[in-house]
Amino acid sequence: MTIHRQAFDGLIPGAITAIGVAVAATALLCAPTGLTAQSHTPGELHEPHILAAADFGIDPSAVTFTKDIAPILARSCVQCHRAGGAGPMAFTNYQEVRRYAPRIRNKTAIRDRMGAMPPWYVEKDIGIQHYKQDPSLTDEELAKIQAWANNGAPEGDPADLKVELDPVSEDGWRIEPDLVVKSNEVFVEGGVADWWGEIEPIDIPLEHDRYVKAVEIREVNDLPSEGSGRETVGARYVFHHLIYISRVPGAHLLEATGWPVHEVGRNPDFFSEEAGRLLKAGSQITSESAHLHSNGTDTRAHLEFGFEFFPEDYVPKYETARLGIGDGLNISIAPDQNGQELHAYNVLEDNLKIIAFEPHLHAPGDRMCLEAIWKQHIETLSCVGYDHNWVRTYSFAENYEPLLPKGTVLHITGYMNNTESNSNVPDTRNWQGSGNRSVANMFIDLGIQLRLSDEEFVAEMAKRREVLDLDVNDHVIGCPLCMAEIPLLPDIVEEEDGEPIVVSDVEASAAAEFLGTWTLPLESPQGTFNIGLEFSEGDDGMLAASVNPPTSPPEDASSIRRSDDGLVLKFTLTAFGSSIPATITLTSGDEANTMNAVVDLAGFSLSGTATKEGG
Amino acid sequence: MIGRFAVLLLAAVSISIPDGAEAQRHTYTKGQPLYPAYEGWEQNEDGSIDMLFGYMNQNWEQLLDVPIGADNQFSPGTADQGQPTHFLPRRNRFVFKVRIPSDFEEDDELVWTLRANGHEFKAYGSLRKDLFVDNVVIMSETGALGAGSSNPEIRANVPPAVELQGGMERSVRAGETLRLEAIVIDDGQPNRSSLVLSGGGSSDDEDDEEDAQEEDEAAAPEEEEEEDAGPTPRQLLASALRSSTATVTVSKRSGLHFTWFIYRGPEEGVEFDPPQIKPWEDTRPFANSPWARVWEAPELPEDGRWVSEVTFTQPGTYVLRGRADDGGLFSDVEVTVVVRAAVS
Repeated sequence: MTIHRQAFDGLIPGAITAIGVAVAATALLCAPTGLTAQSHTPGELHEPHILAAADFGIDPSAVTFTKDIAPILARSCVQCHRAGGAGPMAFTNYQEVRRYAPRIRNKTAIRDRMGAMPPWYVEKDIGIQHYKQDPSLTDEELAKIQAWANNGAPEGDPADLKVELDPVSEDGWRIEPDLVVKSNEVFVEGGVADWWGEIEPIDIPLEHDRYVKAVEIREVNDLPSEGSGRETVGARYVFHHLIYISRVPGAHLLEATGWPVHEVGRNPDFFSEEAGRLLKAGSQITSESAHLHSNGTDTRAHLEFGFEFFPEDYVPKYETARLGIGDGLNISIAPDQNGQELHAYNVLEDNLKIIAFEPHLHAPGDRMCLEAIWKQHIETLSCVGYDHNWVRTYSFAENYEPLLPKGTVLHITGYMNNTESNSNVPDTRNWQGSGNRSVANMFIDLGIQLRLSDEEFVAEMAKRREVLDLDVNDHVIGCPLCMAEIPLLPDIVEEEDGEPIVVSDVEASAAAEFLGTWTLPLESPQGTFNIGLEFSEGDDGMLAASVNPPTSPPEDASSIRRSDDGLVLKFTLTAFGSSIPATITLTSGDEANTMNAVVDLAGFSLSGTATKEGG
Repeated sequence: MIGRFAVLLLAAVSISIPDGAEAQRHTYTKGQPLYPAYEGWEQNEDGSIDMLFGYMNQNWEQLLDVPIGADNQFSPGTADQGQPTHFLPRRNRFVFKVRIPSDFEEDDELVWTLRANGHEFKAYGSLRKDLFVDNVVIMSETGALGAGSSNPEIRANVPPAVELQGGMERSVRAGETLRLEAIVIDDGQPNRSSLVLSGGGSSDDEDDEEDAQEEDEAAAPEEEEEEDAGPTPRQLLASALRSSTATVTVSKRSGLHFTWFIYRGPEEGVEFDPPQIKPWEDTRPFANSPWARVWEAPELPEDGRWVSEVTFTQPGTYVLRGRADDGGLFSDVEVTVVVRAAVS
C-alpha cells in the first residue's frame, strides 16, 4: 500500500479552512508509510487516513462527482447537509459541493476523531464492526474522495448521476417516528452560568400503551446553522443533557420508564427487538435534569422527541439491565497532556447482551474503548473517537451484540486530550476534574444492556451459531462462549442458607440404568487416573449423584440434567485451596454397563469410558 | 496416579488465576503531584468579581505543607491571596476566593503557582464565560445535584450561617486543650439524604429502584425512621457494593455538619476531639467524608452549637478553618491559633 505524499497539493483556491490547513500540514509532516501507520496510539496526534485510489484499482483521474462522490454524499451526508438541515452548508448538487471539496476531503480523512465527518468515530481496526445506521466511509470511498478533490473535483458525465441528492421530502428524522412531541421553549441568555433543572411535563397523547423501538431527540433553536461562534463545546446547542422519564401522573416512580440520556449532537437510540421500552397511555415526559449551557448568544430552543413503535401486539422478551460503568468521582486530568487514561470496571452479576455502547466524556474526551475480560481472555469490543460536540451512541447490529457470561469484567478506558490540539477545551493549561459542567468532566458508558438468564443466554448463543453459521473453530468478537454448547458459567452453584441447592431434572425411576457405582478411568497427558461416580435416588425421587476424585472427598453434583442422549453433571472440585468448576457429560457406551464420559476441568477436557461395578 | 492427577489439578488451578494484567490506575498514597485548580468566577451583588480556586492533591494520604513563597504564590500582585499552605488529600473544590481588581480585563489572568513533590503546576484564572459560577453550579459541582437534578427548592438553597464563638484569634500552650464553638443556622435545604450513594444516577435511567428508595427515605418522617432502625451501615455497604450502579458524576451525601480542618500550619501534633469529618472528597467506603460511598451525617445539636476541642503539641501559628456544610453550599470561619511552648 502506498501513500500519496502530495495528497493535499493542488487544492482548489480559496476553499481551505483553518482545520484543513492544520490537517494538511499534519499529513505532510506525518505522512504514514502504510495503512498500519494510521496510529491510534494514546498520546500521539491522530493522523489523517490518506489512501491512494490506485491501491483499489481506481484511476484517480477518472473519479468524478456524478459517478463516485454523489453516492457517498447521498448515503452519509445529505441527511444533514441540505437546506434547513443540521449541516452548515448544503451538498445537494454539484455546484454546492464543488467549493467544499478540499474540506470534505480533509474532514472525512480524519475519520474517527473529533472534527471528522460524518460524525461517527468507530475505529475500523479493532473490535466489532457491525452497527446500526453506520454512515462511515470505507477505505475505498476515502480514496475516491481524496483523488477527486486532489484532481480538481471534476463533475463528470451528468448521465452518471444515479442517486437523489436533494431529499425534499426528508423531515430530518433519522428514525421513522410514529409519535412526535415537543417540549416548551426555553430561553437561555448568552452570558449565564450552567443550569440544571426541570422541564415542564410533556403530555404523551396515546390511547393505548405502546412499546418503543427507537427514540430520537433533536434540539430546535434559533441559532444560525454555523453556531453561536463560541470556540468551545456546544456552540450549536443549549441543551447539553436531558435525563428524563415517562410516567403516568400520580404513579409510583418505580412504574416509570427511564429513557436514554439526551446529549449534545446526539443520534437516535435503537432498542433491542427483544426489549422495547414502554410508553404508557396518558403518561408524561418529566425531568428534573435538563442541563442548559449558555453558548454566548441569547438562544430560544425546544426539544422534539420522536418515538418509533413496535407493532401493537409486541411483547418484550428481555429485561433491560441496570448496569453502569464509569467513575465520575476521581477524575484527574493534568494540564497540557494528551493520551491521559481513565479506567473503570464492573463485574457482571448476570449474563449480558450489550445493545449499545455510548461513551460519555466531556470536552477533553478524545476516545473510549470497551473491553470484556472473561477469566484470562481479554477482548476489545469497540474503540471509538469522541467529540463532545457530537455525542454518539453506537447500537450494535443484530446478531453482533456482545453476549457476555456472568463473571465477565467490563472495562472502559477513556483517553483524554487536554492540549491545544483539542479545540473543545477552553484552557488546556489548567488541570481538570470531575463535574457536571460542560467544562468539567464525566467518564461513563451510557450504553444499553439486557440481562439474560442462563437459559436465555444459552439460547442466544445457539441462535448466534445458527445465524452466523459458526463452526466449532470460529470465534466471534464479543461472544467468548458462543461455541460452547454447555457454557462454562462460573457461578453454577446456587446456594440457600450456605448450602448448595442440588438441581436435578431427572427422575431416578426414569434413569435406572445409571443407578449404582461407576469407575471412570480418564486418559490425560500424564497418564490414567480414576474418578468414582455414585448414582442414587434422592429423597424427592430425583436422581442424585456424587463424584469421588482421587485427591479429595466425594462431592455431590450440584446439577444433574438430561442432555440429548445422556446426562450432564456439574460439581465443584476442591483442590489446593481452590474451587474448580467441573462438568461431566455421560452418554451411552458401546457395551452394556458402560458410559462414555467427557470431563471438563476448568478448561481441560478429558475423556474415558465408565464401567458399572458389578455390571 | 494420584500424583499425576495432582499435577493436572494444579495446572487447572494455575490457569484459573488472572495472569497479572497490570492495573493501570493506582491509588498512590504519597509522592504524586499537587494540582492547583481554577474553579471559575462569580459576580457579587455589588458588581465585584471573585475568582474561585481549589486543588487536587493526587495522593490519598500525603498531607502537603507548602509555605507562601516561590512554591505557593499568586501573580501578578500579592503572592499571598489567602490560599492554603496546608493541603489535604485528593480533591478540594472551591477552597478560597480572590477578589480581582476593578480594572481587571477580559484578557487578564491571575495565576496561582504550586510546587510540591518535585512538580510545579499553575492554575490560570480568567473571566472566560464558560467558567461563570453561581450557587447552582457550586451545588452541582460538589455533588449535591447528583448527575444534575434540581428543583426550585434546592435552587433556593442558601449557605448555612455560621458564627464563631470566642474570637478569631486565640492563644494556647502546647498540650493544653482549646475549646472551639460555632453556632450554625441553616434553611434545611437540601434534604438530609440516606447513607449510601446511589451513584448519581444509573447508566441511562433516572427511575432505578435505588433512586426511588432514596426519594421515599427522604420523604419519610423522622419518627418513623427512629421506630425502624433499618439496615446498619455495614448492611448498606454490602448492598452498595453489590450494586452495579456506576458513580456517573461527583455525588455527595447531604446533611448539615460542621467540621474543622487545618488551613495553614502542619497537621503533625494536632488532635481534634471528636475526630472531624473530612472536608475533602474521600470516596472510599466508610471514610467519614460526605463523598464516601457510605457516610452518615452527624446528629444535629439542638441549639445549633457545634463544640470541638483541639490540642497542639508543637508551638507555632496555625490557621484553622471551620466549615458549615449543608451538603450543597457551605460557609467558612477561620481562627488563628498561636501555640506557645508548654510550661516545663
